Amino acid sequence: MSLLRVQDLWVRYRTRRGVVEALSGVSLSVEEGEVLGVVGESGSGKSTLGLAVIRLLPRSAEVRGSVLLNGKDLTSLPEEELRRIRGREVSMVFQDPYSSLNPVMRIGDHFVELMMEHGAAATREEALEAAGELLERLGVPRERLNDYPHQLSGGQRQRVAIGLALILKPRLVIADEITTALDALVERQIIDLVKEVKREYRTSMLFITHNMGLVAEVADRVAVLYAGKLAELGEVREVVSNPLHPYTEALLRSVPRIGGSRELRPIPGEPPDMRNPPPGCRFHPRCPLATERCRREEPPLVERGGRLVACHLRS
Amino acid sequence: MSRATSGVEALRVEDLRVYYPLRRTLEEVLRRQQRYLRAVDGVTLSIPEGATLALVGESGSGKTTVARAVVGLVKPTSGRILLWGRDVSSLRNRELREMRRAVQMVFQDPSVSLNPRMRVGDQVKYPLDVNGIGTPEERRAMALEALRTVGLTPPEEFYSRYPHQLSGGQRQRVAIARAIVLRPKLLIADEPISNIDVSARAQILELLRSLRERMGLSMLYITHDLSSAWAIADSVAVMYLGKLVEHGPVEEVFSDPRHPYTKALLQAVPSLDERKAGGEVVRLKGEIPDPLNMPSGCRLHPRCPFATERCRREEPPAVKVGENHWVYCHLFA
Amino acid sequence: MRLPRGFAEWGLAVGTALVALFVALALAGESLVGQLAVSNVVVVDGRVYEVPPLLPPGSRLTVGGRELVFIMGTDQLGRDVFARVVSGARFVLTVALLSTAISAALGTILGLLSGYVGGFLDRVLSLVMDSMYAFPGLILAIAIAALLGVGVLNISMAIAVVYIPSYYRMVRGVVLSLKSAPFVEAAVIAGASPWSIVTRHILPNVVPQIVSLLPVSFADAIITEAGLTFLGLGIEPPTPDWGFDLNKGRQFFLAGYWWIGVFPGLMIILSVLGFLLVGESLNELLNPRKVEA
Repeated sequence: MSLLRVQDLWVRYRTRRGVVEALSGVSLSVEEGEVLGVVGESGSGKSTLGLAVIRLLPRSAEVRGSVLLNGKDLTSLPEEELRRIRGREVSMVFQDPYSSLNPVMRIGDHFVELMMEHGAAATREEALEAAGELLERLGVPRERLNDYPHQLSGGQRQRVAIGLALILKPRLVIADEITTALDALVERQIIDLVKEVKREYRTSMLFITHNMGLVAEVADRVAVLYAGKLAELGEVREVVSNPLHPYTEALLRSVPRIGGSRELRPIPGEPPDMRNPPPGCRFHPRCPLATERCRREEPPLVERGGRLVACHLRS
Repeated sequence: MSRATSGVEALRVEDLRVYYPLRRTLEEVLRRQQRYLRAVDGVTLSIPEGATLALVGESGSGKTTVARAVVGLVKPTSGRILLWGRDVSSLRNRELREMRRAVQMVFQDPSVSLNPRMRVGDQVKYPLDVNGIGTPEERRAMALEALRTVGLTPPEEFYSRYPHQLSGGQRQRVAIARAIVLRPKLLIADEPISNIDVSARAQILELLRSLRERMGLSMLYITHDLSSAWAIADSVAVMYLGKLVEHGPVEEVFSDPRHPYTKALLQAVPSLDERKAGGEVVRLKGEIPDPLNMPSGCRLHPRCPFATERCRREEPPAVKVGENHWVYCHLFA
Repeated sequence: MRLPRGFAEWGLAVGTALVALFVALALAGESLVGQLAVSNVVVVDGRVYEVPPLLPPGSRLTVGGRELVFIMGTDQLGRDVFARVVSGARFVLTVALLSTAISAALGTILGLLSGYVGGFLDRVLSLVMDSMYAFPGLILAIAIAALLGVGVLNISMAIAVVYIPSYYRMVRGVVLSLKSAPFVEAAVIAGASPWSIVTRHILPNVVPQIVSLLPVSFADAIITEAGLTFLGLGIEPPTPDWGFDLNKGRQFFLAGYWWIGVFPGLMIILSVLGFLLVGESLNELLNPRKVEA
């Protein structure tokens, strides 16, 4: 049984200017100890997916479908039980570590509060001891427990946020663009850290990013989202070396590779207006291979050599 | 992609320093001391006419401050900025205005570099208005033409929209249209793709490249993204804590980086390809130090795996390691 | 037409109705009720009748074969309270309008100067404005009103001075943050003059903030006006005015003639409520808290 099973998930936001369908029937799963990369541009629904799994969507969001964690459906769980699960079984790391740390609380108190609330430590000392040990393994000196968030560097803050997400030993961590706000060298350190966490703790991860290169480095499988739908899903190596969906291919080609060709091959056009997504295949207005059928019919998600792809050209 | 150049330098920056005075503590006021943040500390670089130089570095490296000094948004503490051979500080009134007109800038985040309450077309037209170029009808026609040039077609339709009605990529196109409407000769692009969506990034880069060809622009491209520098620049200069560490032709610097910092930066780029086995892996320790507490000697020494006693004491000299390829490191001295 | 939804829309509907009512009264009230607001003399067919004082609300009086109804009674001088209440809207709204316009204009100009020019000018202006801000508003207005004497313009000036610092501080703050905004820097690079930058880039981005402050400070001005005239400042009897009548009514309240003061007081409350509702709900509708998609 998969650790996480998202089934036919739909998410709609009611906004002032109309209804936005952020996710339109996405299904995927994360196995025990696996890192699933979720790639897409803004508006693809990748962040909505992460928030929907841990149920942190704004109240205005309408959710259909199910999110099964260990067989328990998180979408229908009462709020109280959900609180116990958050942190303990599934936790989250955000793009901006500043916003996930309380500026007037010492680093140590973040851990103490979290652990005592979940009964993971009986005393303050016990919690600080465990937190210190974890932080050192994540490359943050133990003394930092006495500091306030603003006294830490950006990289250390993100390490602390990762520590908070790991301290209760959850089975699944959702990482949403966790290196986007960081500088190149710090980003490298965090990538290395994520790989290490994956190796040592065997934590499953939903690794959300816009950067295909990042996914290629840390993920086992990758789900490519476009306009709220799954375009392609498969083993990272295979998807990167032989993309089946034209969007995946275009996305891979649009990023210049150092040492490779210096030609630029941008994806033409603009991402769709999600209040009014295109009919048929949502990628067709930007797809160089689009046919009449793509304009009319929505392509089904089909299996091709152990991979899932939603494209008429492949069915 | 070295293109033929006339041998004229569009931009030359000589030993540029930009220091910001820091707010003084009571003790410092009493002792009449003043501490400075040395944002740019002795940078020399040049861009031949028609060429593109990528200035790369992490935040706090001073790369944006160099750009701001070149367009005149900050005053150099010392050093010279020469545009087409003429020292900007020696220019007055009309000459200065004309020189400034020839140097335009594209900012990092188009959601704040456009006036939220001005129609897109009026923003593109605005530089023409303030410089009193042509009649109102001509100016409108030129603004429409600029919108068309950056790919916002039909331009009449975009002219009357407001920035919030556009996507991030489209907004950046508007900002580029505004920068080229005065027909500048040097374009400063300060991280023009780092705040827009992935799929629009290559579009904007491609647009900048085609404008460069069509308008014969020289370009200073500021970025922290090495792969975009690879795609657009002829040469590259790497900055760390206000100083240059290495500069040279892009192909050469990226295929054969010499400075430990350049190596670390290049190796940090997340890669689609499986990492090649072998080869020296350079990982720097820690993070950029507090710029108010600048390390002595080579500024990288506290993080550099190869640092020696000499690095701690002496500032590294410029060492020539190839045709136009220089590195500031004791390892090569 | 659909029904309003939520607090903001209801607030706007009710507030707009109240504001419209008071504006209508200010414009047409006097001609509606005629002389009864300022005199207790009724002339019918060339014959003069005096209305008795202190008639309770709802009193009817037949003079020369015509029946007069005093739905709010008459005051201590036999003047129709309803007529005074209705025609009192003109003075207070004129003063509120004038003083809000003066304080908004001066505050904005000073704020722009201070924020954009900076330096010594900014320090001096900030110091002056902050001291004015720290000074109790009504007392400041009383002092100036006593100094300037009676008249619409004088009392408006007295009130305006109190509210200049609110506009000044807000505008200065916005200008300071806009001054370093990249779109302003882009204008600098394009070669724009300071005048052009202020008028085309800064002012248009300050205006919405000023507009959101207007209704609230308008309501404030009404209260301050009522406070001043309550104390007998700035107004010349028998000009009908709520604050003035409220004070007069206060003297008769305990004797059982409650209507003389209660109705003007009610008008003050309702007019302030109207402008506050408009201000608050407009603010909420125009600047909704953003929902992340």
